[in-house]
Amino acid sequence: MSIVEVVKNALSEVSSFQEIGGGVRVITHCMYPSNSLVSVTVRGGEDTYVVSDDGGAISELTSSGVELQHSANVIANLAALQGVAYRNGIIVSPLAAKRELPVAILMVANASKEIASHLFSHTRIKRKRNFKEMVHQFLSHKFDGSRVREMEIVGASNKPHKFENVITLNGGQRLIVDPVIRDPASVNARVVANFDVKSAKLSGIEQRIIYDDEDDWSSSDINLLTFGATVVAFSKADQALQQFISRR
Amino acid sequence: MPQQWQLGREGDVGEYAIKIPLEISGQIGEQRLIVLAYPNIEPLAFRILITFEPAICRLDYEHGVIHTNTQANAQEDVPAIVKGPHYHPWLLNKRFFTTASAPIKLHNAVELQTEIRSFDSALRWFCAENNISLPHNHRIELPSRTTLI
Repeated sequence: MSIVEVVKNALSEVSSFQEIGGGVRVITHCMYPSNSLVSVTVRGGEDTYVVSDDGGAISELTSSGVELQHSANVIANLAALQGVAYRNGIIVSPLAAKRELPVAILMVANASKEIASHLFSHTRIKRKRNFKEMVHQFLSHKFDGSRVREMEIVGASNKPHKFENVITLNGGQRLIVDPVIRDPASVNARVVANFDVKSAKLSGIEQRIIYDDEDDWSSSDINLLTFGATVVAFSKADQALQQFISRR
Repeated sequence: MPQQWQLGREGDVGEYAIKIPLEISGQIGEQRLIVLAYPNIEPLAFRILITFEPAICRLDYEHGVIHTNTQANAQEDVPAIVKGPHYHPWLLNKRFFTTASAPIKLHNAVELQTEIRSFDSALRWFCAENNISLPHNHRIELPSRTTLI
């Protein structure tokens, strides 16, 4: 057997064509991050065809047990860079004439593989511990639940800031207990909001920023939080709030 | 009453999912047995996985697919190419687990035994393989087709 035949046989091992309802499923030589080969489906009439990955790129991620964290717009932009479209969870080629079909198959297979790789490398598993919810529940138990409300407060800049836990205390004083998670965007947003409200010097408003001390915070991040308000670790929140209430 | 299926994900893919909490040593945590079903695809196609937040093992029941074990080493003794329904066991993939914050690429797979040809036999085999006690009358049935064609 010549080497050409050996190679031909070897490649035929990893490609196949299968008629499915309304089209042909083609296994290509592109490979997803998990090492499965990309398959695409060709559907069409006599002259024009559409190639799709039948959701294979997204399935590659979701079947690894994590949820899709990217918006449809982001994926559509990634697809557009590859010359294909992303619609309703599926990557599709433009309408292709018979002579364009080989290229359309390669484009969709390659785009599906590239997008799956991108999603895999840009997906982080979110911690199930919902810190904001935990803080809200803790405050609702500590104070009368009806006293703990979400509220908008206008800062010195005249910008309104939303706070998830504003506690109305006896005498009308309000205590903001603002949860922050260990994420640069969350830290920046909460520091800015608290700083702006603090700068407004509103009478009868006290502010606390509360962080999850089970997370590994750096001292510089905690220092940054103090620019917004007095900082409280969640494990010491009960004690700290008790002290605040008894001092009033 | 059979388990209730939910739409697995948005879009036109027709994926349905059930997520069943696993009790481990009397405690129920984040671990789930997940079944993904594709009732409008023929022939029969489904996936069964255990998540520990990411999936740690998975059975892919789909005909006509090809999986390549390009990252396997000699000791793992897996075929270079696996065709059709296959299984990604934890033991063959745990070395790809590098961080808890990213999904695990289950690179290695073995062919599924040919006698496993129905969802029920696959589910029972998968649970036995992973020491999950599945009641005899478990009521997990694949959803019905949602489209005519």
